[in-house]
Amino acid sequence: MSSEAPERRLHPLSFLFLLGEHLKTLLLLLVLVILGRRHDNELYALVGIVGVALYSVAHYFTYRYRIEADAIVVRSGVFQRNLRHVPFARIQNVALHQNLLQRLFGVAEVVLESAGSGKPEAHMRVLRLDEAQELERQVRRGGARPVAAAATAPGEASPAAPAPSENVLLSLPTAEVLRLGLASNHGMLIVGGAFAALAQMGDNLIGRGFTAAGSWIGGHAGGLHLSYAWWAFAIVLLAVLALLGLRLLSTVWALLQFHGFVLSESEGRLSMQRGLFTRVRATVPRHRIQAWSLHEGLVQRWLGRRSLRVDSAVVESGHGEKHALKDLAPIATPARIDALVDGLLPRHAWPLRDWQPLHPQAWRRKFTIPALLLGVLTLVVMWRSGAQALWLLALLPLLALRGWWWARNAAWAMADGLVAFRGGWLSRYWRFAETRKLQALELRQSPFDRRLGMATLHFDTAGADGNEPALAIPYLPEETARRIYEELAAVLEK
Amino acid sequence: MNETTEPAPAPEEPPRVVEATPVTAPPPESAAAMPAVPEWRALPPAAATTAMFGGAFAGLLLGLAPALGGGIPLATRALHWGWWQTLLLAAAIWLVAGAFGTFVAYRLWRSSAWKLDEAGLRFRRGAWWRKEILVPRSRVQHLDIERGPIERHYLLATLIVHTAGTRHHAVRIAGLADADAVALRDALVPASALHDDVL
Repeated sequence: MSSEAPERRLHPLSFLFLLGEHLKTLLLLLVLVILGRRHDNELYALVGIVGVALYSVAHYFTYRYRIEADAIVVRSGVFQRNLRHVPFARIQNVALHQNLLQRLFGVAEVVLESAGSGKPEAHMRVLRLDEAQELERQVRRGGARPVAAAATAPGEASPAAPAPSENVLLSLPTAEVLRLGLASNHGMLIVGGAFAALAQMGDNLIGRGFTAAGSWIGGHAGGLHLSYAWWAFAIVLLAVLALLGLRLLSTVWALLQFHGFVLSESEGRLSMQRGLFTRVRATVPRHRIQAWSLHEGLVQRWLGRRSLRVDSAVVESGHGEKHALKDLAPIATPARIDALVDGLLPRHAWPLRDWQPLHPQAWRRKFTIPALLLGVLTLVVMWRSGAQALWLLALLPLLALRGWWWARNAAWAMADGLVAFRGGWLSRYWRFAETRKLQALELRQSPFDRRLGMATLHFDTAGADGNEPALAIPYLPEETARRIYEELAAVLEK
Repeated sequence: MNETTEPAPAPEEPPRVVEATPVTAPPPESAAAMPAVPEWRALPPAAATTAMFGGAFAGLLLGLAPALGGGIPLATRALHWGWWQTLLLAAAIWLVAGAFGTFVAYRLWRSSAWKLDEAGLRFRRGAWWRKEILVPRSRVQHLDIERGPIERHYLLATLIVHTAGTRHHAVRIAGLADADAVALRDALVPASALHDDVL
């Protein structure tokens, strides 16, 4: 029965969503056309839209998929026909994606991704929700048991209800999500993005906005005849207000993204779902996790929280929304996260015990170059505006403190099949991986390293996220670095 | 893994026929076994030539900007020199950049070395900023050999070792003797078939 499984189609309304998707990318063009105010251009736009609509309908009629015993077979293509055979065992990530409109219609997008390929193996826009969940369940089982009851009881499964065998590892109540927003800097990113978008619009909107705001403030303040103390107070007040505004933005972002976050495990696969309006569900096999990173920012530390992210071998395609499961625990107490990591590691080795310090001179490496830069800056400012600039040198002790603090906190550990580094001073991080997941080793020495007898070890893993700190142990004593390097070389070849 | 039952080739002079290494058919001794090359092996002298050509070219290309954008304004605006002195200064800057590129390439060539031991393929390079990369045999996904026209002329080849990693998803070793590159490829290939699931 499995080899002759029936072919299935997408949801009949899929053409609508596909059309919407294409129109979104065409939106800019449309705006240009409408602003162009030339009638023949509108005709071209109409031709374009009709073309895209026809394509969307054709896509629906030509896209078929079939679930076999150990693979999913996708037939697609309007002009060039494609037959794609994706073994379940190769699928790293199954992502379900539902925006508000799709939730209203009870449908979902499904993205199947394998390791290393920049493009998803299959992107199904859109399936009926219960079919999508069924597909996800099949992949999770590795297609071991063909599902007999695929057609029974459509529409009764709700997106939030995990399957009965799922073991919930972490779920975030709203209070935690609010804390997540409070500790996040995402508001800054949103503001930055808005500025970038405004800058793209041209007409120097930003500059005019700043000028207007500046003259408004200046006019009012000038009328008030403020003293210096009041000025200082006003500036502090403004800064606090700006900070609060940013945190508010962050909190709204966190609510939108992480409302109803649930991380669960079932049959060796982790799945996560989250989102207030747009629901996202992603799964990844537990053993496909390549490297781990723990973060503890300053605010997070005050709140007694940390966050956990992982690299899986899925390479994100640069555009569009992120499907991969990266945030295993966006926020949780340290004990909770340690237990989570420990439970997921095959040898249950976390938290590591014997952390070793770096080279005793490591603090100098964090101090010298910033100090030299500060010296250059001081000279430049002095040349411009006189001896007052020497006050800048008051920052030197702060830099020294930072270096010392960083070096005191930094440490590495290698035990129980794990290699780990922790670093940071105000905000801290831990980065670690199983040694059997390492793909290549690199020992590096800059001239500065050699002068102090240091070396830096880099570990390369699959799918390493460029936004995370590199998996590396810097500023090791040279012989220690060499020793770890050779030990790992022996382990990897076994 | 095995204790060199047959002696590895001497590190100083690789035993290889420089005149007629047929590219299509590698010499039989390399195809049979390259169990381990436990000594660091330098790149052949011919690789220095190709590397220095490349370095000179890169230096001259990058030197265009300071020669035209730095030297000419300096001579005409600040120093008020005549046209031929200006030209001389620009040419001097340009040539110094080319010489520097050549020098860096030479240093890189001299500091490059490779080794194939029981742990895997090691490659090191760099005189000021040194690095040593180790790709374990079990982590090799696939291998490429590239031969550009200049490399072909000097019987050299570039070996590219692909791994599943991110930074080192492709480790390039340029300027290997052609026979060595082929032997290395043959020595590293089977491991990927044994370890299917390292991700």
